[in-house]
This record gives sequence, C-alpha cells and structure tokens, in this order.
Amino acid sequence: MNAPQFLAALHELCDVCAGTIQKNSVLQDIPGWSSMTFIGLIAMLDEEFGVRIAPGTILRCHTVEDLIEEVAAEQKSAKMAA
Amino acid sequence: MQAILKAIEYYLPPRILDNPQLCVVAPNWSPQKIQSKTGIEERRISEEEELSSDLAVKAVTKLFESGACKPNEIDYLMLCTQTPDYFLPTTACLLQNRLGLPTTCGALDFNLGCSGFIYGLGMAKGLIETGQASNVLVVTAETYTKFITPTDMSVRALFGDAAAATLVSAQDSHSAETPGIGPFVYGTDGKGAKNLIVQTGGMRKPVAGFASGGGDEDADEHVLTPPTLYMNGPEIFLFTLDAVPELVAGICSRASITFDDVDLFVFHQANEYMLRHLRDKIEIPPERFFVSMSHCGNTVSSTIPIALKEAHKAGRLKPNARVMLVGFGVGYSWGATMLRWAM
Repeated sequence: MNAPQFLAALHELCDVCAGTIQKNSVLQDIPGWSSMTFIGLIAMLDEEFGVRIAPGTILRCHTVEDLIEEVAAEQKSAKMAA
Repeated sequence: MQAILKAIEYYLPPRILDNPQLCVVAPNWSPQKIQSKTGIEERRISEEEELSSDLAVKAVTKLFESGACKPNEIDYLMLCTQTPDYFLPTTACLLQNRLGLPTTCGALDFNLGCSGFIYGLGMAKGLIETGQASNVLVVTAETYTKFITPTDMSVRALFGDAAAATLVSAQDSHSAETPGIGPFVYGTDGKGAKNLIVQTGGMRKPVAGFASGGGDEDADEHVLTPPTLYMNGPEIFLFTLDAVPELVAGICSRASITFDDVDLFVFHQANEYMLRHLRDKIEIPPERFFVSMSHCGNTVSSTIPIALKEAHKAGRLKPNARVMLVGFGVGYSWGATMLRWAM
C-alpha cells in the first residue's frame, strides 16, 4: 500500500473532491466524516487493504498519516504471521 | 412429523420517518447520503402508546385473516422481544388473551434481537418434532425507536419498529434428508454486550425512583435519563466480519451443502452497505442475495421474516426453494439455518 492509493480510497469513501484530504488532515475533521463513514472505513480497510483495525485504534489516530502508518504496520505484521 | 414454515405476515406502524425528515435534525447529512450508506429510505415509528404487544396483535391478526390458520389451532406462542410491555407478566401471556388463543396454549417471551428469528425457528422445530406442539406462532416485535434520542443519527437512521408473525406447523415427514427447517448453527459471545446496549431501566441501573419505590433517591446510583440505545457501529461491524463468514461456512458444513445448493440467501437486514460488503466477502452471487429494508429500516428480530415475505411477494421464492437464513447482532448472538420454502 502507498499513501496516494490510500488517499484516493479515502476520497471515494468520503465522497469529496480530489485534493480535499491530505496526509496531515485531522481524521475527524474530514468533510463528510460520520458514524457511517467510520463503518465504511472499516469495510474499505478490510476489502481494499486486507486489514482489520479495531475502532479504538482508528480513533487514536489523529491524522490521516497516523492511520496510513497503522494500516502499513498491520499489513506488515499480517505478512510476517503468514 | 417435521416442522415447516407455513405462513408469514408482518405489520408496520403507520408513522413514517423518511430521510428528508431525518436531515432536519442533522443538517450535515443529506437524504441521498443516508440512502447510499444504509439502503434505507424510510422507517416506521410506533406511537408513544403503541407497544410491542400492539404491533404483535396486528401482525398475528393479519396472519389469521390470511386464512393460514385459526386462533383455536395455535398450541404454542413465542414472542421474541427486547421491548416487552412489562418486566412481568410475560407479554406472550397478554397476547394469548388478546388474540383469543386457547388457554391450553403454551406461551413464552424470549429476549433476543437480530438473531431472534433463527432461535425462534429452532425452538419451534424442537417443540413440533418432539410432539409437544403442532402449530407454533413465532412472533417477533420490537419498538427500539422508543430508546432512541432524536439527535443520535447513528441509530436513528437505521432502526424502525415492526412486528412479524410466522406460523410453523407440523406436517408428515416426506424425507429425512430434506427437513422443512434445519439444521441449525448457533453462537454467542457476551464480550460484545457493551457495544449494543440499553444500560438503564433494568435492575443493574434502575431509572430514578424505581428501586426506592419512588422515595429517597440517590442520583449517583439511580439514573435520571430515560433508557437509551447505545450502539458502537464500527465494533458491531468488525464483529460481523469475523462471525458471519464463519457462520455461513458452519451452516454449509452442518447441512452438507455448497452455495450452489442455496436458492436464496436472506441475512438479518442490518444495513445494506454492511450486507453488500459481507455478501462480496463471502462471495455470494448477488442475484441470490436478497435485501429488503428500504421501506422499514432495521427492524431487529423482524428483518428476516419481513425479507422472506417480500421475497415471496416478488416471486423470488418458489415452492421447495432452499433458503439460507442468517441472523447476527446484539448480545453478541448469532445463528443460521436452512429453510425449505413451503408456501
């Protein structure tokens, strides 16, 4: 996974114009962020990035970059386990 | 004798809460967004004085009026509800009287949510195939909206009130290899209790004035706010990602079938967005996966019988069709079964 790929998926999920979300965007301040987007994010992480991240962990991510790092770490540990 | 599902009717209260109405209290949402994220266009809301028992009476009365059976033929009534009229007596006992069922009829309530219909079918099959009953009414009725605060969109956009009445009857066995209902797979994990809960109003956190009989109250112990539904949607969704694929695999294994042997898959209608994700993850062909919730929302234990009724009306269920039913949610509790369509 790379950051542009993740950002593109996040734009699609939140239904916002390209460039709206940056790596340093605060996750909970993203336009269109809601309880339903949160569920969509979990679905997106599962479907497109093959990881399951606990909602509590996602909530601890302040920025989009924090979440990208969390996803990358989860993918790495899943690879090592396999 | 074997148990078969003989008839289904359901009832929705008349008051509609549609997406434009919802957006009045949540201006950062749009009707289209709610529709695309939930698959729901409107949900039905019970009136203040309209209780689960009232919805149940309407659903069962429709069933009797359909000619499926007469009140005096019912020898067992079970009501699945988490919004009973009282702590006691059992709401099913009230229903026996209001519906004019024989006093020789067994009646019980059971407290389950989204998995409740599967458990009801399991108990009905047990009663019938052990010769304890011949015509079992499995009634599901909920008024979750009474627990919902108007500004909590995470639950208000999803849940609607409803009741469904399902008649499970005995018929002579034709073949042990093709049961009318079954086999069953069940599951429970109480660790998830906190993620979908009404914390107050029971004995652990009584509402103010209740435990002390209306006398002195300790505000630290007695909750002052009315019972309110709390749902941690992301945690619930994560649970379904783990539990549901395993549940589907479990019922296929127990029934010795593959997906090719299933004519229609009917899951608990939690939220269409989640359902589509689960469907794709489990690799169920879309044309054999039935969703029907846009007109009523998530009606908890009634979603599966409502979807079955709608699938039947839409011509998606031919006689003898094999249907997989999958329920999952509050508890956590889950269950699945196979159904041979007999209507």
